[in-house]
Order: sequence, then structure tokens, then C-alpha cells
Amino acid sequence: MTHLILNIVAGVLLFGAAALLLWRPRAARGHSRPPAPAEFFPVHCRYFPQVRQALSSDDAIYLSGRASAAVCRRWNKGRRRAGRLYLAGLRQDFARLNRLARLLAVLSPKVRARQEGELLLLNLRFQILYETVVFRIALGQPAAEDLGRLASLIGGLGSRLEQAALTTDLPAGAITL
Amino acid sequence: MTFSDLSQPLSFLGAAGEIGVCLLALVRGLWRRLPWFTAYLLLVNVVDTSRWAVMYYHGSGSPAYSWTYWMTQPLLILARGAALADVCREALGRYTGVWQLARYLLAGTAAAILLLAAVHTSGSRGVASYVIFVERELEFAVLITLLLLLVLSRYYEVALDAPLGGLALGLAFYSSIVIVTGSILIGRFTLPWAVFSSVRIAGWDVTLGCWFYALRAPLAALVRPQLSTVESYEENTRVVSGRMRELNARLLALTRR
Repeated sequence: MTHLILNIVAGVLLFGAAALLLWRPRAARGHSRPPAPAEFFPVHCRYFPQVRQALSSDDAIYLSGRASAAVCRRWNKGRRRAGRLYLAGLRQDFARLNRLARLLAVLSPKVRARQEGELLLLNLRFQILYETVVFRIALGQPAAEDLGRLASLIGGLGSRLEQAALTTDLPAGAITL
Repeated sequence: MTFSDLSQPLSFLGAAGEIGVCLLALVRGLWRRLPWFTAYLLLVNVVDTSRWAVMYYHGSGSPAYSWTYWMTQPLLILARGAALADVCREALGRYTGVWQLARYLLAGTAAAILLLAAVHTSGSRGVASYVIFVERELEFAVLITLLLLLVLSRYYEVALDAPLGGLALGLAFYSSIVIVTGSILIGRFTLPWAVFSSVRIAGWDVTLGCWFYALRAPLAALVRPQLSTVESYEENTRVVSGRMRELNARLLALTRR
């Protein structure tokens, strides 16, 4: 009986997954256009100096001597929120670059299984690690320095790929987005 | 109204749908893009016409009809496999690099599931139950292979444009119907043949509806993508993976502090 139920559930779930993967939002249908190279460039990591100021510990020291405990608490909460949002932005930057890597693979006449597998694994690992860092920030751990390192890393990757993408022709209509 | 009453109009609808979809496929010139899928549609018509002829002369309960039905069923299953391979090739074949990788993945997955199916079905007895068992396992292979194709298409952002999306949806739907009904029939539930038959025919009718809808518009001209060079790919992916590795190392260091 268990076998029977498992088979039926598997059949239904597999079809559901296939239908979900086949579904494309109406906006995406019939409006296929080639991606512009600028769509892949990191955006958020460029604003790190402003975010660093907001997250710096100097402000915390300054405020602790002048503001009430309630104001400090509110400020801390806002600071953590800003950190989280900035981290989400960094993830978006990373996703764009990862997307560019996949586009490069699609347009290549030959791809290496090992390289593609490695990219996939690295991406999965990034997602897991990213969630862990978000959790740490939510717990109130200092974040400015960490975010700075991440921003410079993603920014560096972006600038190298900007050059690569600008010299690589992304043929019109090659990929529908 | 009983299920037996229901199966006859559904069968007529299916027969008309099969002819309609096949004609539409020929009018649209589907064979230029999907030759095996078109051949499958033609085969379905030939097989079903011969089944109807045998049923007309010998009756639906006759051994001749039963023999014809179960002997032609494996032929259709194999043709479905070829049609699926055609859909996979058409979806990713233009992107030569990714296709080289994908075809090994798809063929490997299908082969692994078929091997499992062979192990599963080795103990079954009787032509009918054996074919139902094999059919269900093969439809599992079709559905999983199709799912892998869709995952790869999503991952590489290659859209399954018309008519591929509708054709794939139809294939997936019918496979799931076969899996569900086959499982119930094989299992301990005693499913009346009329119910089994009606559900399958209704599922087939829906599938034909999907294909008809997918083929409603003329096929768009095929755009061959302008590929880059192997050197560009290798250089850029090396940069990406190197940076990703570095980034992950930093993230890992953050979590350990």
C-alpha cells in the first residue's frame, strides 16, 4: 500500500514540478529580448562606503553617550535592517554575475562538465553560507567589516566580467529572458 | 451514467483529436523540427486505426483485440521515448556546448531509470500486468527525463518556445496519468477496467488538447544563436569560479569567527 501511495504521489508531484517549470509569467512571454551586458554588472557593492558609515562602530560610541536607551535600541535595529538589506543587495549582485557565467556557457560551442558542476556547487555553497551570515547579523554580530570584504570581492569579480562581457558579443535573440 | 458509457464518447473525441493533431502537425511542418515526434503522432493514428478495426470485427472483449492492444502498446511507448528525445534535442540542440553536456546527463538519467525499471519488472507475470508495469516504469523515465530537461532549460535560461512548451506539458501530463492509473491497477486496489480505461482516455484527450493548443499558431522561424569562442568561455568561467571560491572561503571564515 505504501508503495502504491508513493508511486501516485511521485507521479503527481513530478507533473506538478514539470508544469511549474514550464510556466512563464505573461510578461516574459513574447517579449524575448537579448540581455544587455549592463544587466549583469554588480550595482549594490559600489555603495559600500555609504553603508559602512551607517554601520560603523564610531556612531554607536557617539550615540551611547548622548541618546537614551530607547533611541539607541531603535538605531541598532535600523542598523541591523540596513545591514540585512545591503547583504540582500550583495546577493543580487552575485546572482547577476552567476547568470552571466551561465550565459557565457550557453553561448560557448563547448563547455566543460567539471567547470559547470563546480559553478553550480559554488553557487549552492554561497547560498548556504549567505544565509548563515544573515543569521549572524540578525543575532547582532558586528557586520561592517564583513560586508566590506564581500562587497570588494563581488565588485572585483564584476569589474573583470564587465570587461569580458563588453568584449564578448551577446548575439541578439540568442537567449530569451 | 456509468464509466462504460463515458469511455465511448471519450474514445471518439480522442480519435478525432488524434487525427486533428496529426493533420495540424503536418500542416505546420512539424516534421522539419521534430521528425520523431511527428512520426509518433502518425504511429498513434496507425495503431489506433488498427485497434479500432480489430475491435469492429472481433469485439472489444475478444482475445484478438486484447492481443493487438497489448502487443502495440510497447511500440507506442518506444515511440514516446523517441518523441521525448526529439523534444530534448530541439530544446537545447542549438546551444552546442550545453547540449553536449545535457545529452549525456539526459541519456544517463533515462538509462539509470530504465535499469531500475528492468529490475522492478523482472518478477511480474502475465502479458497485461507486465506491460502495465513496464509502461508505468517507462513513463517514470519519461517524466523524470523531461523534468531534468526543464531544470536544465531554466538553469541556462533557454526558454521552451511554442510549440515545445505545450508538447512537453502534454507528454508530462499523460505520463503522470499512466503512472497514477498504472499504480492503482497494479496495487491492491481493485480498479474496475471501465474506470481505468475512462481515466486513461480522458487523460489522453487532455494531452491531445495541449498539443492542439501548442500547434495552433504557425511555427516561428528557427533562430540559430551566434556562439562565442571556447577560449572566451574558458577564460571567463575561470574568473567566475575563482572569485566564487574566494567568496565562499570568506563567507565560511565569517561563520567560523
